[in-house]
Amino acid sequence: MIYFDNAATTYPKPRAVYDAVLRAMTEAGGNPGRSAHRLSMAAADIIYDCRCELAEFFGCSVPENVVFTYNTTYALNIAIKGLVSRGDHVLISNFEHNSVLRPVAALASRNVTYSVFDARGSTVEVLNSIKSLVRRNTSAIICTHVSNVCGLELPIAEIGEYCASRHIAFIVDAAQSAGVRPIDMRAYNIDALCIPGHKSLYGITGCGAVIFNEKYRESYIPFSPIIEGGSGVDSLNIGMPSLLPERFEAGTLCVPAIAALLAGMREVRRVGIDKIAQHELKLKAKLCELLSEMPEVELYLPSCDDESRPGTGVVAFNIKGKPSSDIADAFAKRGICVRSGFHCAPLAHKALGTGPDGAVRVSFSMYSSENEVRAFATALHEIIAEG
Amino acid sequence: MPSCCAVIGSITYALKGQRLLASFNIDSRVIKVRSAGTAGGCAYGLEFDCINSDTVAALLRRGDIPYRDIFRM
Repeated sequence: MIYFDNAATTYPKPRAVYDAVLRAMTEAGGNPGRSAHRLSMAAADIIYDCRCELAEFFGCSVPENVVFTYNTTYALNIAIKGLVSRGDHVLISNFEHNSVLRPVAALASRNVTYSVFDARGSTVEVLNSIKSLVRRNTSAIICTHVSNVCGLELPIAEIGEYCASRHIAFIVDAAQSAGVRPIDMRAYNIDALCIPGHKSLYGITGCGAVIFNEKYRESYIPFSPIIEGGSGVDSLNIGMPSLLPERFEAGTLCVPAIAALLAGMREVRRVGIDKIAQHELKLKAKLCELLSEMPEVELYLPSCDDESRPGTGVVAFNIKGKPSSDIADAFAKRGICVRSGFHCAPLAHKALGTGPDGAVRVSFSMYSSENEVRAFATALHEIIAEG
Repeated sequence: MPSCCAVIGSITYALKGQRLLASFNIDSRVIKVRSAGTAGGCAYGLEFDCINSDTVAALLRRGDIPYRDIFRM
């Protein structure tokens, strides 16, 4: 089998991740933050270790500002619905996943409006697009760091700098970049960073996190949770606790998934994100080279003309005249896993001008190889020849 | 030596406090504090040797770890 659907979730995981999940279930099987017995404390220790290392990894000095969620979508919902107020205007990019677009669109019920800036082109062009759309009541810019459809990287350092200069909140969807592109919340002026555990941080499905900038402390959490429930603390009060992270962590956390995230992140740090990124980009370049030799193939590769934004190892393409779902199915029959359709990102597909059935997406991980890329290209030749 | 308890609240801050104290060679244990002893109900606290009370209070304050009370157990 060749697994090239890593933008959906990475597979396989590092051995240490499988071991960590088993250990969490066998040695830390209590409910964290509910008791003080050995199994509960073992689970709580894993969670706190993960908070500390995530905070450090992403440039946040306060581990309690790491709020665990079920996935990036939950994280984005907490950040967006918390930081955006009634009557505000926000900006999103034309490469957003539905995890940004849908919560923002849903805020219309609170009279929130939004505009879409163009993330293609040079950093200056992207910033000009943003500046042309900012209004007096613009309260937030919410954007992906890297497109899940084509790997285009947005200039988040420069966008963050602009946001800080205008006192605009900056929410970043790092679903595709966390673990494969450097992110420093402090340096990039990010108010809320939303990450998955199971993609390029190599954890398993079932947990993500929103990391709030260290300026959001006890005295300044100006927003409400979107989900209320048990927190293991202040149980006699009808409202959620005021402190992070428990304020936003109603219900029991998924300890095995958090243990997996911790183990995966440690493996990423051990290997080095620069090395992983270079490996994936090398595979991307090889695949693009092979695909560009096939006249039947249409590649969707937006250029950003900026070496500081190399993007990630994701390639979108179609065989002209063939639905992407048929192409993915043909690959599946050959034991090759790719994803077809719109990838929950209709704005990105519109910007890229893909077909009426979307496109085929190939996405690499640190475990993908050049031999697999060559085998993929051979299979693609066969599929084209089949007509 | 008698034990004292710093009532902290959340498990997150309790663990943060425990690790902070450990970095100053002060042993402590995370415990659940009696519900009747806290205004809002369930809370975690840190049990430590009362001889360290002043130091613990100072360290928790310096570490931005909110605690509600320190009492002798």
